[in-house]
Amino acid sequence: MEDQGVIADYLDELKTNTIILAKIKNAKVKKVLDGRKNKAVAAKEQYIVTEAKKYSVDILEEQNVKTENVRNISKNHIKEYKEISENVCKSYIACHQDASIEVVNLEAQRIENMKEIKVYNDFKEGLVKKEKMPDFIKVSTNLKQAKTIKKIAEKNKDDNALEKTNIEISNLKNQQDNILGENASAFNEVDARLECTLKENEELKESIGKMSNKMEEMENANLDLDKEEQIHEEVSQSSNKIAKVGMGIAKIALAGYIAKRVMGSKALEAFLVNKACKKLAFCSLKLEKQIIEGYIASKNINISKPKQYIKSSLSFIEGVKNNDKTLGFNENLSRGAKFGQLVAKDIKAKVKEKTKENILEKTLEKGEER
Amino acid sequence: MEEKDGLIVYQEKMYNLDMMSELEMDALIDQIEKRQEELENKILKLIDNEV
Repeated sequence: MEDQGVIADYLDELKTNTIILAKIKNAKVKKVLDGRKNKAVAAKEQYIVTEAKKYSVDILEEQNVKTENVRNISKNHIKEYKEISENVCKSYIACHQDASIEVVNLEAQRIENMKEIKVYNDFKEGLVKKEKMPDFIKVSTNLKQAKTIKKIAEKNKDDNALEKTNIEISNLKNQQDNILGENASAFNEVDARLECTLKENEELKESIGKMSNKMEEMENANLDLDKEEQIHEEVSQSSNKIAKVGMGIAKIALAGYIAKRVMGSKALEAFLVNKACKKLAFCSLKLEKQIIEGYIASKNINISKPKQYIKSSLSFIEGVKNNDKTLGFNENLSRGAKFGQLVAKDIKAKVKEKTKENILEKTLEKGEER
Repeated sequence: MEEKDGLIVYQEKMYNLDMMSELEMDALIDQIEKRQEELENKILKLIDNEV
């Protein structure tokens, strides 16, 4: 009986231990499985990192090339515009120098004429007899006044006043001839020459005034060129900013690639790649707009194209945003680059053409003045 | 594990299975299995005696 009690106790313990054993074994199996799962997750993570590293090298390199291209387009713009500015500058300097020489020559001619005028005046005075001088001065003064009135009448196109003045001048000349007597014809001849020289001198004075104004205009044009230099500087700074942004774009694009290749998420790749494209397009647009506006402001180029370019850029961005999610990053980027090149080419041609026109205009104006 | 009247009783409450390592679990399983064997032998012996 005693043994039966002990056996019952042993059996009870055996039963309890069996249940506990089963529980421990279950817990162990769960632990082993969890361990394996964690190892698999860690391996996958490691794989993602390795793949990302592998792709990042190629993609960053490709991005750097593209960023450099954008930078080069800007650099070429600046170089081209600087060359044009320099040519315009040289042309202005040459015109300015020619104008200076012209002014000096005209001034020399005017001084020569002044000398001649003095000689004529002295000669005229010599022809008048001493006792008749007071009458002569009186008549000469009246004649001078009549001539002034005649000029005003001519200017105002007042025919009546002109007729009256002509009669008065004729009378006064007769009086003068009477005073001069036998010297009258010599006096009139010298007077006619004097009149001619005085007129020539007036014209010379006018030409010198015109040339001086032209020179002043050229000096102001040089000031405009200084302003243009400032614009170049701003454009250059923008180009550097774009290069910096390029790295940001590369990172977004990289995230897009990783999303597609490693995680297999096409939607995420499309979103990130388009985000990168939009950023690039906005940067290009900003730079182009600045170049176009700067040149319109400084050179007064009246062309309607810039508005079209800006419109096209906006529709390009809009297209990327709405429809072109199916396109890959490279396609979108090359579309952006092609667009940028087209804009650059066309604008360069326009500016060149306009500058040539400006130089031609200046040269023609110079020729006409001469 | 507590000893009572010559019996060894394993109480699951005494072990936090979540916190135990695989090695600790193996050791415990070994220990319990040995005890089971021991109990089985003891029971068999007692039954033989009775017979």
